[in-house]
Amino acid sequence: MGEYNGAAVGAFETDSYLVACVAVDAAVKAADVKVEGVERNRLGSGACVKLRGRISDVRAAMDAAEEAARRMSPVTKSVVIPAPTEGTEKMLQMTIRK
Amino acid sequence: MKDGAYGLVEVLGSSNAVVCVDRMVKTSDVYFKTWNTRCGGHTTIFMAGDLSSVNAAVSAVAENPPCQVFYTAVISNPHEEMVKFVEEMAAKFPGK
Repeated sequence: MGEYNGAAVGAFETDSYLVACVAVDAAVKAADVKVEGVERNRLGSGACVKLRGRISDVRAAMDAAEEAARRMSPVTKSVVIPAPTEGTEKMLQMTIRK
Repeated sequence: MKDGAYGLVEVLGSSNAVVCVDRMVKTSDVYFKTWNTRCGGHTTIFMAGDLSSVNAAVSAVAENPPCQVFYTAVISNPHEEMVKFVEEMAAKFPGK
């Protein structure tokens, strides 16, 4: 299990890897969150970003990231999981190891 | 040596990426950090250097693009979390 076990998760997906990187930079500047992984798991150029940290930081970071990403391209999906359970942790780790 | 800024350019295909990197390196004092190519062919180039030269390089590609450029962006004063993320990506390539 990753070392962020139990920390709140913020995940969002954009349709461009570059926009995801810009959003990650905005997110880590906005709040004290760790970047768990950025995966390109879609056929096009999309990327999924996972942020970990305290729930208030994750929410602030997600707002900043979404705001930064929306300027460049539509943010496909974003979700905040306050308290990931055992199964959710395993699922999160699965895609990163790919 | 902390980089002042990162310049990001997204193009289609690795060969286009090489053309863009070549132009950017000749435009101003930036160096090629790493790139990320995945299925679908979109290649994202990471250039590094101080802010003004990265701005000059990215705008050189953005103004008259040598090939189809999807997005360009400049990240100024990257957070150390961002630097760690880019370093991890750069470390994937041997001999870097």
